[in-house]
Amino acid sequence: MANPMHQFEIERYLPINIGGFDASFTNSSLYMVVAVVLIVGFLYLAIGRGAMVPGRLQSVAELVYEFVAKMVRDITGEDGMKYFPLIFSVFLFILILNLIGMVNIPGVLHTFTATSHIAVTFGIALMVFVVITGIGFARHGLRYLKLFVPSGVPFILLPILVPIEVVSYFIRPISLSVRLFANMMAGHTLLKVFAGFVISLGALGVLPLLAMVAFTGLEVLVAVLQAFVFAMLTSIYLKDALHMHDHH
Amino acid sequence: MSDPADPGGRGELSPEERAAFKRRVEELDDKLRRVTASEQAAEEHVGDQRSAGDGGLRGQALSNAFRIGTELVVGVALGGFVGWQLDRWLGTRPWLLLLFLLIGTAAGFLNVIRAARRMQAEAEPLQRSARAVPPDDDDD
Repeated sequence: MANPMHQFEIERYLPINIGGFDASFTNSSLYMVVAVVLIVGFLYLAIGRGAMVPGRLQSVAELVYEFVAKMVRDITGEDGMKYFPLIFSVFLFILILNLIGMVNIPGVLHTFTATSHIAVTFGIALMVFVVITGIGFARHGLRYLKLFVPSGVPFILLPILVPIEVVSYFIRPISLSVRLFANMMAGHTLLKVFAGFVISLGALGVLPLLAMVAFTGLEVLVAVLQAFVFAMLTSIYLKDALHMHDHH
Repeated sequence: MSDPADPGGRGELSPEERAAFKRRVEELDDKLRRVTASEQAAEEHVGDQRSAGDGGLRGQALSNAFRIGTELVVGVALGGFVGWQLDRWLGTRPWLLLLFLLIGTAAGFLNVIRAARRMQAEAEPLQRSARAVPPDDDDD
């Protein structure tokens, strides 16, 4: 049976070494580049002309825009829209990376899911985390640290509560990245394992084959949903940074 | 501002002007009532659609499920990991591990509770017309 983890192996296409760090151009890098090209190309084609009455492509682009914009507005309020480009880019990037991973043409193209590696998802999450913390400090100055001091709590409890608040703040990038990578990896492994069953069970293999059809649908749903969850949590964290303490 | 009859105000109002003013206020009141009513109807409509279990709600619920699960696991795991590493570094096994495991678990729970509270708040506008109690917004 084929190794279900084989699909996650990194291949170095162009070994690059910068000061002892392995910065090779890998299949992961390749698919990230492909995703960026697809996104930019799609948006360029879709809204390049900016027709008053949108065509098909433009409608799709507008739908995606409206969807993300509504979410950001609902969560952060109007002043969060200043940071809309960040959330929109993160959403599209993750969405396309996830969806590319679902493409598989037997014998021709086996895509690689960049978001199934925690290095990638943690990179995105860390970037979001740093930017949002920066926004918080830029906006509130040192008062932003008050985020760690719950209001209206007896003084004696603070030594217990402040570490908890601090940890719960620093968990954010980790839970963001773990959620995305674990879901993508688990889903793809499951698909591969079931695909192995189809072969090894012979005539009975039709059962796992049926399950595969359902799981593939589920995986597409998860791919979209995980991108949405990532973007939603980014906007929630952004909201906390913009309007401290009125978040609960 | 000042009483319309107040001669020390910005100026005198003739009875005609005052009547016009009153009419205008009534007009605006009426308009406001109509807008509020239509908004409420729209909201209720949305609520009906949502509770009818369309894809949007299911997606929302699924995304919430994904969210809560990891939040808890990551809290415990991160607390444990940080404590373990600090122990190895400072040679204080097993105290920091225990401490950070507790803190991490608490932080995980805190995040879950916050998330749940958020979800509740999100569901609230749909029931706004039925709401009898003002939202409590500062209990932590």
